[in-house]
Amino acid sequence: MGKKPRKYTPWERVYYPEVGRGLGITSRHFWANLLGFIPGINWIIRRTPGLNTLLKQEVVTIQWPEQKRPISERWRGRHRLNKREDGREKCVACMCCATICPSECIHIVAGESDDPSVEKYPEVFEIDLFRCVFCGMCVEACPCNAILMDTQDMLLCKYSSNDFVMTKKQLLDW
Amino acid sequence: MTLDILFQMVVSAIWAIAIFAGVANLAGLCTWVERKLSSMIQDRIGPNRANVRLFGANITAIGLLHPIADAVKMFMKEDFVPAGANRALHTLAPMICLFIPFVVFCVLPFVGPLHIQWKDIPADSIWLIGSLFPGDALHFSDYTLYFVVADLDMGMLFVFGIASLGVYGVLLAGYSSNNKFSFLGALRAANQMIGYEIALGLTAVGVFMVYGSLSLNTIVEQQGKLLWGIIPLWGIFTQFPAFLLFLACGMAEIKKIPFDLPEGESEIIAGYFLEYSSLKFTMFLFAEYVEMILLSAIITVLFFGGWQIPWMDGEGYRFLQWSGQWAGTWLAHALGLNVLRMLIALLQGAKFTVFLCVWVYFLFMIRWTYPRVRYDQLMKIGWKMILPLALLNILATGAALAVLRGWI
Repeated sequence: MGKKPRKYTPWERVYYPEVGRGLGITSRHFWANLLGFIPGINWIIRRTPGLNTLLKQEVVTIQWPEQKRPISERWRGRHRLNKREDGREKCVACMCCATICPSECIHIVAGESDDPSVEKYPEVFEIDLFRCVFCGMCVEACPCNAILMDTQDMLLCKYSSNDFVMTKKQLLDW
Repeated sequence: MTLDILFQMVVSAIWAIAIFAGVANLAGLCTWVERKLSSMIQDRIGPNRANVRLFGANITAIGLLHPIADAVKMFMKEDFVPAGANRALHTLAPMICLFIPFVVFCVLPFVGPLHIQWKDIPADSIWLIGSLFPGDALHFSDYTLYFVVADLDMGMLFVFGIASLGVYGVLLAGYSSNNKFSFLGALRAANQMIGYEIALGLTAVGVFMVYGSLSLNTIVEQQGKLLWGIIPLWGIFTQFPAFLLFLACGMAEIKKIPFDLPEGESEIIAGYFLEYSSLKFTMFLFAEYVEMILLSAIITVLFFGGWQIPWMDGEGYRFLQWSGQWAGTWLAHALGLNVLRMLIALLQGAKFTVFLCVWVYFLFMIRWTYPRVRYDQLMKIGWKMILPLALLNILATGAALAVLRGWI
């Protein structure tokens, strides 16, 4: 047995006053939002005490893509590879990121580096963005600060599914 | 036939086209208004992307191009007739649905009669047509022009009679589609429309009793009278309970929320127009908006004085002890009496249109505020509440009139 429905008061049973009350709520939203779009009236409303709370515009739409939402600096976007001063990749092909990656989307082929101070470098460094879950574990695991996710790139749209496998060149020149 | 009658006929014909064009455009605009209004209520922005490139800039015109885009889309769609459907009836149904509300507009007086006092134009001076009426003349020295397509004495009966034919379109649509959902929707619509038809007629009876006529023009003229020299005798002041009941019945009659039982995504999908696509679907959609405008117009005529502007008409003005004829006032001297009357006629048309638009807005607000009623509630409201209350209203109005007019 569910809860018994509440008995309606005679005031509610007349129906019309409650209809009016409901219309009041929707009308307030309608006029507040409508007047907020008219620049001159909007200016007056925002500066009139009382009116600015009653007729506060509540539209929160962001006109994307003309208008972009500010993103936090910590927001995890598409990956990139960090560079050293001489323009070569910081990555030493230690495989930490590929090991910790839960979706196994990083593919690295290590090669011997020409630079005597660096032991290895990645000959191939590919990230399959279809598999990636953007968890950011690779960034945390990297000992050299070589892989980063700070491009703030959310527009991951391509014409071909092959383009979603990011090559080393694409990751370096983001 | 005389030249005077011919002139009136020509004006009526032009007026008919003007009303058709006006209502059709308003209905098209309603699709935009409804989407924009609902978005504002729900703290959204609504349609704003359809654009044309003009002088190197994207013109969106606050989404006003969306109705045009919709029309283009609807034209491009496949016109589908399901297998086993009765092709003739399937095609006929949307036409009936759209035809009926448009026809009703022809008895509605949008503008009051225009009285012309100019000069006679003899038939000889009218090119070609004048030779058909030798010796006749256009009597513009004392002429009254009526802006009603058909000024029927039984105007309101015509409205109810034709509007009740609308159920044929709905029923045929459901019946001919060879689809059980459609058929159920049509049965629901028929039940609802016929049920509320009775209550709708009875609620309006109170208004007929007060103004003593079924002619819409006479009803509007009667509403120009004043109570205690200040309050216009509009239907809303003389028949307030009838107004509330009429509003509820009217909304049920045009099948809008909260009485939109004939449609229902979870039960019978789109109801009676489920098997329609392309322009036929658009016609059903369009008919709904035209019906809404029609209901607004009828409410304006019956309860808000139609074209009557309070305290003035084409002949004169009256407010408490100040009243008199326009003729002889400085305004008439400055403008000329005919121009003044035309200006007032324009004002009357504007007043009617404003009230009509306000009621369309109100119906939209209701639509986007309320959930629908349950089916048993719908039947209960119609038969157990509105019908007895309408009968009670007739009784009370009769008693009040008998006392006020000293019949007892």
